[in-house]
Amino acid sequence: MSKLGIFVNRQTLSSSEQLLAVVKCRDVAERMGHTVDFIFPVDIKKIPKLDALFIRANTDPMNATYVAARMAEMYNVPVIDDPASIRICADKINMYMHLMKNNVAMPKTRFLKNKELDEAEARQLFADLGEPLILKEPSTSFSARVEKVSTPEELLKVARRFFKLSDWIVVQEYIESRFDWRVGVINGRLLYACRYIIPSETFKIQASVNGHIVYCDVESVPADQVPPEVIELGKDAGNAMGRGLYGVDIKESNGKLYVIEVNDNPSLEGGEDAHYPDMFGKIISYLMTGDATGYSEELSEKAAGPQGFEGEYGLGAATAFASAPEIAESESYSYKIDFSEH
Amino acid sequence: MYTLKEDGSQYIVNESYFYKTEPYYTIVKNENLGIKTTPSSSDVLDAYIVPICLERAKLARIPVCDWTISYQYVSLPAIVYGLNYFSTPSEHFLVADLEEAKKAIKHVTNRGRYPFCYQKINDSASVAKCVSIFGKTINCCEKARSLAEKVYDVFRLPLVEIVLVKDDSGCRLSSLAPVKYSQLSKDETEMLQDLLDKRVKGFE
Repeated sequence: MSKLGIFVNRQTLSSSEQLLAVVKCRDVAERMGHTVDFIFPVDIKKIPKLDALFIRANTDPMNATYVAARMAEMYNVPVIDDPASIRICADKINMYMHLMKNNVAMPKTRFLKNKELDEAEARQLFADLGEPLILKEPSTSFSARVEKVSTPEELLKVARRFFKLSDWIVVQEYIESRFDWRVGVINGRLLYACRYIIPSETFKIQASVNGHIVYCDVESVPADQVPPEVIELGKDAGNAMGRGLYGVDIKESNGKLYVIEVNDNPSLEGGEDAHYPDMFGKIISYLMTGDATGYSEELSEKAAGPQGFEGEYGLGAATAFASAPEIAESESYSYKIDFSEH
Repeated sequence: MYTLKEDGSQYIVNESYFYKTEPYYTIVKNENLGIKTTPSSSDVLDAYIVPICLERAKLARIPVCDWTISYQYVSLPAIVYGLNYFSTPSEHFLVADLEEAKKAIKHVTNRGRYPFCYQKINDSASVAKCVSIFGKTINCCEKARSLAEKVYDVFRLPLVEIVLVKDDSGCRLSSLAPVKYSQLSKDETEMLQDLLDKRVKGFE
């Protein structure tokens, strides 16, 4: 029996959709004969004793997920997302460099350095890439710090703001589309495909409109209904990053396909797997055996009940989870810091 | 930022190599162009993220402080580091009592929003710092000098401040931090200048 760790944090648990997804993943792993431990940031030192680690928290080289990924790598524990994938995909500069290096179709893109920013450069970017332009701060996720600009003055204003967070930023030609394809890829193979329907009020998959957050709709699409060229482009983009798990965003415009970005730690809780009931089984199989195709369809059907997956992922499971970090800490250490105001 | 070419590798020499800074992206660009670069983007992240730095050093048999990641609990006395987007190993807090710990941890965790890393130390321990220039040090004790050489072999940072904890059991690595040129002693500045004069390829 192998032991799988699922790395989660407070943000993972604060979303009911993400919570259900990780519990569903645990149920599948247990049905495959593995034991599962939820690993919180305070449990990172337990990672060397695991047989595999699956990170389900927002990844970035500057947060605890990267520590978890590197711990796994240093102790030869198979991990999704592996540190290299985090370094590449969580940084849009590095991610687009990898797409360019591998000749993957993408919008025309420039990297703008802080020291190069002036009005002449801004005008030149519009001349080269057209109007409007998209500006991205490299650590953007969920479309945060992605902005559309239509004039050199706007570009300078937004760029100055982004340069407070990074010395380089991304400037990109704008590709308009009503939806993004999201192609899930693992070890260079298709895992799932869906469409993210862009809200009419915005050009992003998630945005704040008049003080309200609007989200895209997720529409799972069976593999045989996805254009083969979309799947191929998704696989090419995934292969440009590495051999892990990636969510590739693709736009179609005027008959051409463009990779908009490649995400490590892709969302798996929005219904992406509605037509892919084996999704978690394949991920776990890849982590445990190095082969995502080794997972049996029959096992997947047994795991799925009439309303989805069997197993305890209701309120009881959530309560058990939420208390875990406190238990882990209070057992070992004597001084507790109280953050409340008096 | 200085760029040196030696042994078929490009050396990037700078005060700091923080994520998303000009030196970091110079390294990333080189790596994507297939140019062997020292330090690597992976090495600089490893060096500046305290738990990774210590675990990697430990695997290389460098004596290190024991570390723990926590949200609220701490054993005292301890050295406390942040573990988030805005933290830097240059900023660490030596805390001996609960009030000091509370203040430092509130600061590095943004009032409990992020986890932090602490290292339990002995009551008699003291913190020392030394600057490593291509693994060489000036005016440091033998133990620190030897540790700096090993640290350079592992992380390959041309310029780095080594934070050490000294107690009865010896000298242990606590963290690696950026160095400001203005912090260098006269002898250290001369050593750096000498190395750069001999090998500098370009100055940006």
